Amino acid sequence: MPSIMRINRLLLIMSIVLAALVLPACQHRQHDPGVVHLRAWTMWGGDEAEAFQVVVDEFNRTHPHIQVHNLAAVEDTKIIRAIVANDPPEIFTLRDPGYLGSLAGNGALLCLDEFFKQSGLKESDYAPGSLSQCRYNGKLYAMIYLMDCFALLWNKDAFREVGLDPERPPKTLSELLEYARKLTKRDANGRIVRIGMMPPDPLIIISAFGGQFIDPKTGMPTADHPRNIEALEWYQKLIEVQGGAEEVNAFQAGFGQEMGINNPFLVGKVAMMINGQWNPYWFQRYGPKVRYGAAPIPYPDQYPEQKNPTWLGGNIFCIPVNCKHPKEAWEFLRWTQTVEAQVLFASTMHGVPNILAARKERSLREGEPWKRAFAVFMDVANSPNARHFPPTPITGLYQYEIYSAVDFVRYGTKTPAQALRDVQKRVYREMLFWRR
Amino acid sequence: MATETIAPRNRLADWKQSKVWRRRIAVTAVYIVLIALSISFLAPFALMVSTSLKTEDRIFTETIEWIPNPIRWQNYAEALQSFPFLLYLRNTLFVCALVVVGTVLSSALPAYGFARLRWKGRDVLFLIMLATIMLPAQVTMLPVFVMFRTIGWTGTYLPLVVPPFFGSAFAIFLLRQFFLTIPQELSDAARIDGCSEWRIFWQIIVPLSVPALATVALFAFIGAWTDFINPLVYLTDENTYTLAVGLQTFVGRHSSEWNLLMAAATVVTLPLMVVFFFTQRLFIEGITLTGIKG
Amino acid sequence: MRERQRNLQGWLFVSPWLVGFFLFTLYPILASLYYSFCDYRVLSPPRWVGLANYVALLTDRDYFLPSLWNTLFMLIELPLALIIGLTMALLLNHKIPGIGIFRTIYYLPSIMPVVAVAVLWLWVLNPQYGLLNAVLTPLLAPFGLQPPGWLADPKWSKPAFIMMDLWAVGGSVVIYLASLQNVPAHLYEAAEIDGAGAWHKTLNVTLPMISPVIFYNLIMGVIWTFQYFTQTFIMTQGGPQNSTLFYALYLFYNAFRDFRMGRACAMAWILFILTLIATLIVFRTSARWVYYEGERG
Repeated sequence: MPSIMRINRLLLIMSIVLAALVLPACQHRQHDPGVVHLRAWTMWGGDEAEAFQVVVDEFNRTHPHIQVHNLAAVEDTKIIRAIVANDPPEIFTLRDPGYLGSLAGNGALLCLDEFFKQSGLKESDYAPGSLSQCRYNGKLYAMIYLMDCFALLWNKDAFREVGLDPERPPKTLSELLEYARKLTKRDANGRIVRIGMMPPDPLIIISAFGGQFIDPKTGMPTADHPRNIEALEWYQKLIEVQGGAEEVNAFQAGFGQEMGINNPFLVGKVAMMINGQWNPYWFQRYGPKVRYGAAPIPYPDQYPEQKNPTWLGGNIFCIPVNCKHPKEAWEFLRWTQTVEAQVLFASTMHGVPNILAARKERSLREGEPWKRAFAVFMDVANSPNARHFPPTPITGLYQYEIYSAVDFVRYGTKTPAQALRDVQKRVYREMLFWRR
Repeated sequence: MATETIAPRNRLADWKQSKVWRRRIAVTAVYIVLIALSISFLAPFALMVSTSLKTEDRIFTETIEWIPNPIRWQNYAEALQSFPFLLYLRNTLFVCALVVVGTVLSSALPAYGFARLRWKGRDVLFLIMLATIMLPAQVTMLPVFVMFRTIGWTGTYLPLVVPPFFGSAFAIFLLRQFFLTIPQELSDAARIDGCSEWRIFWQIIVPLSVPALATVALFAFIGAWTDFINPLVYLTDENTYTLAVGLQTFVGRHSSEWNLLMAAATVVTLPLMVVFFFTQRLFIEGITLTGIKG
Repeated sequence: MRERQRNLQGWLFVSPWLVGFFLFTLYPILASLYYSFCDYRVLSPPRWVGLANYVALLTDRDYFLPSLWNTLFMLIELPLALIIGLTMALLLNHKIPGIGIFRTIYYLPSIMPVVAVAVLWLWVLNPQYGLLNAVLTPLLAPFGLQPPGWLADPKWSKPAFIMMDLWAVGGSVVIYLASLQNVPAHLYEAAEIDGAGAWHKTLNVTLPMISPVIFYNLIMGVIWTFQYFTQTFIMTQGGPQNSTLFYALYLFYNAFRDFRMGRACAMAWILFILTLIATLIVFRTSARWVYYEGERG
């Protein structure tokens, strides 16, 4: 029967092809004795991965007995699986620093306090909000390598257009509301073509109001803290003043948040926004003609002690508790804290150094015009009101709940007080569960 | 006299003519519907290809530009440089070949057992088999990973290519349904002649099921080609990555360069299109071998 | 003797799958069942808590029950997919020139990478600039209506996903096409002689003969609908306002965001029971409408 023969022939061809493919796929790596090989699983990809590879190459060059191999674009669940299966990499980053609390609380991370004490590094070397992102229950479980911070960016031409002084950004949050109203532009059909202020990350606003996520004394959540409610009420006002939830949502759905030529700020769809320190570099790459300014985030009128608030993020490196080469892994982490390594990474990754001395580096502040804006971010990050989300074992859930609550507030389905009270109910219960 | 002989012939001719016309109208109608539907089905793909040839500033415009102006062919070159396409292609072909062979061979046999034979426990076992795909993968992910780690298979291709040689519940189910449509008389006749079940399977059922087997092969191939989760979980050496994983990491790398992403995605999709287009005849038009089907 | 031989043969044929079941499948399934009765935080050993997870889930009105409802809503897709898939298969079964190209076009959605599909549909569904609303706006304007906000509107987000899934119906179409080849031509001829038109032929010959495969697509559809996850994970992460928080997505969050693997396993087993019940119902009714020409016993 012809088709059987045809199938037989197909199978034969396939086996030959397979054999040809199998042989090259069996590759073996050779390891030299005396050299410790560390696997680093990092979250960065693309340009950022290349920037990190530069850092790794520099380390490998200066530390011939320790070789770090970077695996890029690794997502967190892969790391969790590896930890569970008892075969984790020696060094890894957490894309979501919120995982720190869960991992540390479950004893998956190596405590770095001893290493830190003997390394010669001092607390005073570190910028505010840097080491605190690495601590859980008072112990150090990670090392930070560059931080993110946020400031106000505004389009000077848009300001000029509506009669505002382009060199004078809003200083208080009520001024910000006023400016946002003036800067929102509509076309002949009444549809928004430019929004005054891009609705910011609510966590930033909560922090600006001096809000609180975790009670520092009890360690329990305080989602419905009165300042948090005030912050969301301001947020609601911002949406209303620019046209109300429906209009703003529809307009905002029309642009993505990626950096590129079509970034809404660069194409004039957004007049002001609160965004991170990576923007000045990318602005000059994608929209060199846009005239913009950078300044500290406005503070609430009624709480002047909250001046210069900012929000912090960070890239944290962890060592698993069952690491086979903890000393060598720490060597790498220690090396990232030198001023040279900080400046190297900051200049390629456009993050804020966490070592104070590195922030003063002239090469990061001077030279190209965009570095002046970058310098503003670095200075803003020194503010005593620089805050970050506290490491908790429930950060993933907590943040999801807050964003969810803001969603409800935006659509008007719940009032800020109601939404946050619901959040508090759930995260409090979850925290109790973790404390057991 | 003359009129009587002519009239019936004309009516027959008329009827034949109208049948031809009716068929022409039907065919035209089919074409119209197919073309109309194609437009909506093709739209996302067309958008993908169109974006893959655009310069960055023309990707998001007020009204969609279907024909890029200018056309940027370099997107493809840049995308292909960005991840080792040929290497990943070879790895993918390797995995796909094994998965296809394993799935087809090891699924046809159990399907035969479920469909053409009567034995104790058959229906209960079939239900158990179906039940194994009713549990969401997220919860078995961790124990499966731990299991493979314990036997030392993580970091290799083994977790990807060995399990398909032990049957795939989807394929077994599908083949069982197909095998059940083949008349029992064929098997009975062969049994009376003294054929073993094994021979009946190979010489009667398999040749009659080429469309079904080809469909299973196609699905296994496409499944293995587009699977990014399993290689992502089990492969730790970048040189062993497959195309699907490469594309996934490409997303992380070039998150805002949509034109490059779409170029990479198009490149990864094209081989599948070609495979499907040229192997259609196997499973759609089938190969009739015996005189049973007209 | 014959009976024992027959039983043995049955088990032999099934052995490839059976061995694989014991090797690869049984342990993880039993492990997940055990975990469902435990407080298992992934990184520490599991601790037995009995039915606590199940009770907590079934009384959770904030997330569990809404996620279940969202997933059940998607079952609407099944009859639609069936009708559209069958219709398209019948259309594509004509052996007219160029039909191969059409078949490839309709199958394309199934072979495009998920990540590209997600991004493309986000663009297509964009309320302001997307392709879909660009087409709908002039159509609806004379009636004074505006096109919906799709993924930005909690009322329209699920229908948007249903639309996306129906676009990818090509997979089932291929299965229907393969089974249409198995329909003996002499049955059509016999029907034609009896004077049956196209509609009658379809209803009385085609559908019954391919009913085994319709059955397959129906069962698979139920299983897939209950496990719907990837697109919502990439595109909406459960929003807006939890309207696209599907069961499998909430399960994922429990397992890998909150580290409540015990609860996630309990969710999985509840889902399993629901799927099993739905499948059994379809099986029971199948005796009435599925026709197996080669069935015996």
